[in-house]
Amino acid sequence: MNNKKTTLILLFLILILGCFLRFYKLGSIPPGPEWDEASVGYNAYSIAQTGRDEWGNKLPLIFPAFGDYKNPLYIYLTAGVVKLFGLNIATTRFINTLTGSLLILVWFFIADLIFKNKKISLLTAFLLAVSPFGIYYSRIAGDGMMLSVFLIGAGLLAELYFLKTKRLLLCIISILLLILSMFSYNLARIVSPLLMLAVFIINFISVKTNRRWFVIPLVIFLLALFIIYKQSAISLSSRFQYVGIFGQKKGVVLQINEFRDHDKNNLLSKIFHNKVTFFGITLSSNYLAMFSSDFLVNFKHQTDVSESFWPPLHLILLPFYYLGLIFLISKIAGSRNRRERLSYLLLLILILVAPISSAITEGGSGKRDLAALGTWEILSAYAAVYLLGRKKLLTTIVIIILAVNLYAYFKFFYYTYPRDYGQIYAARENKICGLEKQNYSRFDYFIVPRKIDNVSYIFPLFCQQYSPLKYRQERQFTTKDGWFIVNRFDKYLFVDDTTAKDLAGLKLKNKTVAVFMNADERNLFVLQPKKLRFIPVLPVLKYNDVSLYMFSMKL
Amino acid sequence: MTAAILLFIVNLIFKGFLIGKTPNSLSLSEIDLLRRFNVYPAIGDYSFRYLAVIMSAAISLLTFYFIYRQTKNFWLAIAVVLSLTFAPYLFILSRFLNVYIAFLFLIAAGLALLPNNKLKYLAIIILVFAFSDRRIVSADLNDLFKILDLRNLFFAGDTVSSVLHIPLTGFFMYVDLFFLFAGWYFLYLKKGAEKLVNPLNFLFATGIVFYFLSTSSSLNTYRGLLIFYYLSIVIGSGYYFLARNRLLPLIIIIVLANIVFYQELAYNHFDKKSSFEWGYAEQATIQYFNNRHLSQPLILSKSSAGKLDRYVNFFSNTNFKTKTLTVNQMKKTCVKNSSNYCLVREDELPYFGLAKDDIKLVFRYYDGLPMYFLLPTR
Repeated sequence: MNNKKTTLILLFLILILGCFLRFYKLGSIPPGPEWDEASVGYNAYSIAQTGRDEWGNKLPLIFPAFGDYKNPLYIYLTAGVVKLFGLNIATTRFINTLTGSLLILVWFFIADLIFKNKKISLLTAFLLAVSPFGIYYSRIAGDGMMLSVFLIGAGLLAELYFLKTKRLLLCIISILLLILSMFSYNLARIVSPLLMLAVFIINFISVKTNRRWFVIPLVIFLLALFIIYKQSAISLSSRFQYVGIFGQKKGVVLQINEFRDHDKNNLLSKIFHNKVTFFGITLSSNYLAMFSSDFLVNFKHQTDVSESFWPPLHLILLPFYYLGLIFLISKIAGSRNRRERLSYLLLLILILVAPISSAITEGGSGKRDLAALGTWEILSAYAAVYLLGRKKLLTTIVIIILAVNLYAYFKFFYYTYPRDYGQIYAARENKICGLEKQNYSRFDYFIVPRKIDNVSYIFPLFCQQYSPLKYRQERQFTTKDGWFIVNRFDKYLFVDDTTAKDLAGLKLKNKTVAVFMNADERNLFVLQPKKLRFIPVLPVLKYNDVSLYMFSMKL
Repeated sequence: MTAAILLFIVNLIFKGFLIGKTPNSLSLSEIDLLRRFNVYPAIGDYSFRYLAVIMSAAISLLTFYFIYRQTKNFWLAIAVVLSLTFAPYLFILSRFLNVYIAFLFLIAAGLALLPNNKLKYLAIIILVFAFSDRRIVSADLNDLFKILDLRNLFFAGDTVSSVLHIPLTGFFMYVDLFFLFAGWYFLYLKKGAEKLVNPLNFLFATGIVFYFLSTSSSLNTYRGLLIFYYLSIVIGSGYYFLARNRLLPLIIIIVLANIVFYQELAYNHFDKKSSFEWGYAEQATIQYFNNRHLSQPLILSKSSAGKLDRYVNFFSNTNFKTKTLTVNQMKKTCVKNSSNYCLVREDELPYFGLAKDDIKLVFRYYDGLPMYFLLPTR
């Protein structure tokens, strides 16, 4: 395709499509905010208002939040958006949505630099625009996932431009972008250093002149590592123990003990069944899973928030993905142009490094393989253009099947998913928050049970845009196993249970309180001796087959 | 020919070694199959399993003959046979009697012995329909992707059930992953064995059809058998291709290491992990009461009778009978100081005013899961 204007128009249209798919009903698809989104949003609001996070830390390098220690960059960028447009779901998600849209452009240019074929570049951009993972992770804000992926992609792009132009500034920009990605989401702390290492080695070997100037990006990198080390000393180790596979109480260690028990702990079992062999097998298995058909076209996480309900690849693209990988490897082996070979190699390194963060954590997770977003599309596009070429009939069949795949996905994501899966997105907590807002002046206290989660306090803070200064002065909290448990602030009390005894123990004599319960809690409550009179405030509220009750009582 | 026979013997030894040790009990499907042929072995007698071993070894020999006839490449044929010899899925299928090993044997025989490709294809189609349900059992593409999944193929194995799953092992060895890609490259890109490609493609395509038509027992090991056979040939081609490129010593070391590793898992952990499916507690119960030379029938509650009865009535040297009673009847019969032996399940103990800790003799599966509780009547 030689016509530059046509390419630009097509790219523009693809970008519009991608933006539309990401921005359309941003505040309600998926519903929310969920717990992490509310936390991110409120901390951003707190920074925007006071320069401190919810715990009063001034411009922190890491945000304690619930005790899960969130990365800072996304929150700071969101603070800017919240400052301008106020705190709501859309503004909380905005940065991920924006970077998710810009990622389309990034990968267009990456494909253009590597393959020098406009068809491949445009198809890559299109596939990314309609990518299930691309769309989903651009629409949630539990962490800076898409921001991180964008920065990794942009870093790779800058490095590719450096290889083309030999301008050192681009190498520095590449390193800076990769470093910034490490402050956005934890997966980048595995992926980006490895990419940077590859960048250093490739640049040092391939660029013959001005090698001493590479000291500059190296110094920047070492400085960043030091900051990250300082920042992560506590947070990373606790996070890793929580999700990593290496802990003493984790499945792998338990398995080793079980197998040694079979062998009565003899010498042979110690040789065969130890951490080296078992962790090696588990890591290899987890790593390979990210390249496997079961993950690429089957993966559907239906119970966890922040996990896509649709696999990363549309079904028809699966053979193209594998073929694209084979073609890429053969290109590296067969290419005689050094710069070309290095470009292919960089892409392959990203493909190989991206699944590592998922491999070292327990349980299958799409979000931890998100660094591979873009690679699935570029490989599929490469193979599709190469194989389909001028075969009109075959191309038509593939397009029809892809259209069917897309229809099924869009129907699910924009219609079925928000209707049927709202309960995963803290629907209960958000409904409670709405009721609290409506009835604020009628009650002296609002009592919310913590049966479902320990962090329901964040929702009244978020939905009422509660003053961070006032919150920090009023709140009462405890800590348990590293998590922060807020018990009360203002009119809001958060209790473990809503039994009559627990409520009586709150010592709120002659106060009118509103109590929220689900069906189980209500059934338990009504069975108890009627020491307290309670009146339903409203008919039972039903959402996604869950019932929510609100009672008024005088204690 | 000498090499082929040698490999046949190696197969017999490798797959037949300690045939009664792993698995060291019978599954219900094996019992059903033996009943169909009126074979009733004594408890602890597993000699009938040598039939599966012989068929498996014959599969390797026939495949050697097929590959050699098609390609005239002796070392390629040897490499494929080695792949079939050590493949975990085929190893485990060779360790007990089942129709699928016979199915694969007939497929290999058709490929090796029929004179031209058309007859081979026809034979494969006939066999696929003969051994399948002859209707679409499941049309879920997602299941097919599970079976073709690289992780499941090389690390996780049969995700449907652990009954044929060697722990920590896939359908193939870990290292075979590299040989699979090498094999594909050799066969399809380098066109190293052109005459094999069409029969292999046909085998793979029929494997997909068989998967969707295969029996509703639904174990992936069975349903994917033809696909695995195809992959074994590709992996063997990978062994050949890489060994040819001066990597033979390295290949030998890593393959041997993997074989030793998974063989240890097979012999020491396989049936312990799935002792429920392999009737471990049932056989232990029968052996215990055989030694007691019961003069009266062993009394079983209705819920404990079903599975145990099938084992008791199967073995030729079971020297006692069983009698099934309701709990109320057992309360009258299984009284203290009677001479009856009475077995119940854990959830029935409260009817007799007993708790788990009151029972001295419990028949358990290997992992400790208690199955049959002997009431304290004697």
